[in-house]
Amino acid sequence: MTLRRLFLIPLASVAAVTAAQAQVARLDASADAGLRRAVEREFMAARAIGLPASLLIAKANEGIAKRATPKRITDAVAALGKRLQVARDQLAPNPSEDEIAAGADALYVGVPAPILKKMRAAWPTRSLALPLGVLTELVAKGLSPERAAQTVTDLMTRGATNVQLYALAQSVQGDVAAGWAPEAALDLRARGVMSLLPPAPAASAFTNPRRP
Amino acid sequence: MRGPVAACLLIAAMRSAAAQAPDEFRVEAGVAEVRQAGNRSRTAGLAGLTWRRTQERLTTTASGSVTAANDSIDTAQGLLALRYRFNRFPHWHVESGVAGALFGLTSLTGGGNVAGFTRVQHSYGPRGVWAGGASGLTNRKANSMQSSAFDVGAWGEFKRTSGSLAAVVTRSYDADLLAASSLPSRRPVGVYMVRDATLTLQQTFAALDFAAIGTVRGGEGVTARVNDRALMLAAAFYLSPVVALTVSGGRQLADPLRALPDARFLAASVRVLFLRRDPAVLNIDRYGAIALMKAAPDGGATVTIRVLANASARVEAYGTFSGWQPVRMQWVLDAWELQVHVPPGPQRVAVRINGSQWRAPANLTKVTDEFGGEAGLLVVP
Repeated sequence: MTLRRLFLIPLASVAAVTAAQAQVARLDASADAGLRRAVEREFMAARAIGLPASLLIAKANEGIAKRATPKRITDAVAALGKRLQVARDQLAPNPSEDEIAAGADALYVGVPAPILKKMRAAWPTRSLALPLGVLTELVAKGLSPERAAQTVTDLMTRGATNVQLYALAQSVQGDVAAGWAPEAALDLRARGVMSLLPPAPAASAFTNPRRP
Repeated sequence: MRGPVAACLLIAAMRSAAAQAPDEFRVEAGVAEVRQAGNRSRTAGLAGLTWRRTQERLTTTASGSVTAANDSIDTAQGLLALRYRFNRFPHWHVESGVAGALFGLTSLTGGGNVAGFTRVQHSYGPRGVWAGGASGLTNRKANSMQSSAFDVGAWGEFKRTSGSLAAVVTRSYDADLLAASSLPSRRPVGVYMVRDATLTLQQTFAALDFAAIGTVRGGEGVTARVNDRALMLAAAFYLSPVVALTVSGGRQLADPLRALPDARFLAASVRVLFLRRDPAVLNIDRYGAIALMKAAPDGGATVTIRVLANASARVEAYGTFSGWQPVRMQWVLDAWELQVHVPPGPQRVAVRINGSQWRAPANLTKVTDEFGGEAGLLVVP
């Protein structure tokens, strides 16, 4: 290691700390000292393990804007930190920040953590940000997480595109607004999308061979 | 002489379940069965008009109503009220008004009442307090009887529930009202005082507005009934944004200030609103705040939020796009509008009118947050 490199390491560390401080500085100025300390603690902890920590600042600012108590804000930030961590773990190995954020959102509305893992298995290389958003929307609409996840995952496995998944969520939303039961609307619309997709891979015929 | 003091409680009761829009013109008509204390029931026809206009700082309300039973409970009444918000003190309002009534139109013993009130309110978000005073003069059989009242109270909103608690002290010389309202055998003389505590709760369920008003009264001096209580229930069911059916019933304690007698009643009416977009202010869920999304060529989407509310309303939106800072919406043609560019991913949006509760646009999936708020979820592809 050259002298120059040795000199650059502390410089890089200082730059990283400064960047973190700059992000924490985005915390609303009206936050009191106690809240600021608590959020900073959560922020640093999240950042240290590679989570999109800026979301914690955004959550704290949301609470401040909504005039929530410092304790409520601290609790919300800590809970979000945990959700981000769970989402990151379930969406391993290399989830993007958008995916982690979308996963945390899904967990917030009640999607069980293992479902995230199943979705990752269905789309190991493509971004799950939108499918997770669609799942969140469906669950928030009143569908059971398992049912909604099964449908979305089936569509993903069959090769549905982001646009098709998005259209599915929009159609279900319209149907529910028109008075349909969420489950019925999801079944109907999912069948519609399925009909546009190529048939299931022939391999499945080998896994369940029929007797002659 | 009990009849002439029976009067205009019915229209007031019909209104009690109605959230009021900043700008509106409404017509109500219906029937009621009324029974004053010590009297037999009467069937009455009801008709009422209400006009309200909200400007930047001033709200004007005028109303008139008629109760017709071809009997001495016939009544015509009117009300004019102004509510002013100070420019330098935006949390303070002054409300003042005058009401007049003529009763017993077809009877030999007619009379009248005039009353005025002033109230100072301090509001902060969806809650506030008030203090006020009122004075009324009732004339019957060429006798004038004066009444005055002082009231303090507080109100608040939580999601779709709102409520208020008021304490009123009334001092009155209206002996006839008391005689007509309670025990006629103890005809009072001189001044009497009553203290009321009134709890009002209002709840909105989809197309149904519901209100319950409970009053506990303590009396002094010559009041025949020392302690009393009353409960009034009212409901308005919206068949459409402009037509509602209302039902109300219960007991109204005597109000010497407005010459209202103690009476039990059951009333039903039809309400028609002539400003179609005004109900949007009542309940955004039901009547039209929407968020439309259009994919942007450079990624993300342009979200257009539109709210159907009156042009004089103060309409704001906030959400993830603004860091949850309220953004004033702009009046465009016939509605309030805001266009924002949002990045891909889940977004949350909410709107509010005149500082009321934040609500999710009707076409979005509603989600609650950790802070007790509500917003619409928007997934941007």
